Amino acid sequence: MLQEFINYYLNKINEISCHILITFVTNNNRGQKKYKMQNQENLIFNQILEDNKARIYRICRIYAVSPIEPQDLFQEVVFHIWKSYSTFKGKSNISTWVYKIALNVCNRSKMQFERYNSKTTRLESIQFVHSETTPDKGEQLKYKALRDCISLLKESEKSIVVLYLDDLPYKKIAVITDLTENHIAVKMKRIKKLLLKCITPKLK
Amino acid sequence: MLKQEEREAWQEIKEIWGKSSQGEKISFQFSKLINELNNSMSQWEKDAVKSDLIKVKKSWDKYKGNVSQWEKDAVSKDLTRISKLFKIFLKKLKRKN
Repeated sequence: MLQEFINYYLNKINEISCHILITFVTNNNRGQKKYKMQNQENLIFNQILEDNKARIYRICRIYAVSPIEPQDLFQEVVFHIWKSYSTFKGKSNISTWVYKIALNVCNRSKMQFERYNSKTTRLESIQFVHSETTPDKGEQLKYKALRDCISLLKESEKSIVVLYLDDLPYKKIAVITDLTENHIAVKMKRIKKLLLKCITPKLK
Repeated sequence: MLKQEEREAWQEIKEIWGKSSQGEKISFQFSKLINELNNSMSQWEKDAVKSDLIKVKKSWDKYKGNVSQWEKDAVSKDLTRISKLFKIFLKKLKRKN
């Protein structure tokens, strides 16, 4: 009796889900309309990358620990943005969504590389060229000092300080990190203390 | 540390941070990029999508036109009832814990 009941409902669920899926597939297969939409989506995707590339790269430089290069991480982030682009519903701000993906990918990168000993996807269509405005030695040393000090922080604190340094308000940081604004404020107080204590002698 | 000094140090940190992406110029070849991204989807993902589509097609042939609106409504009503009961059950379970 119970088996029959379960079977009946499983069949019904299957029917409904099939109906929904087929409707979705047929709706998506309308030739030119689909092509135009895809083209438009690609353009938006390109724009997202152009607008956010500096932000993503800054984060990647902090999280890239040898043998992972910042460029590898950057490409991995781009790949994940592309993968989840179709599921972006526009509920949050686009930069918030990009930050979330970048931080997730960067946070997982170390574990992923250790576990799979894998190489990242190398995309030839993304090129990294040394810029004409390359920072001088002094600036490079200062950056190294900052990077070293940030690396001393806990993982959760690292994410917060990276967003804070990008001039994001607590409200937005809270949305990205899934914490409350109060929690962020408290953490930032501690992070500022630690960071200043670590970096001040190095900058002098 | 004095507050003024703190502020200045923090300002310097922010400047260092802001300049950290200037060393490298990132350029995209967008015409290639989409193709490359599509191709870098793993074989496992491609196989999974293929097998799902085959399953969907098969089951659709079986049920095509056989499900009336009334049946769909009835099932969805039943499902909402079941999920409500399940939620009540979970709430009670939480309270006991």
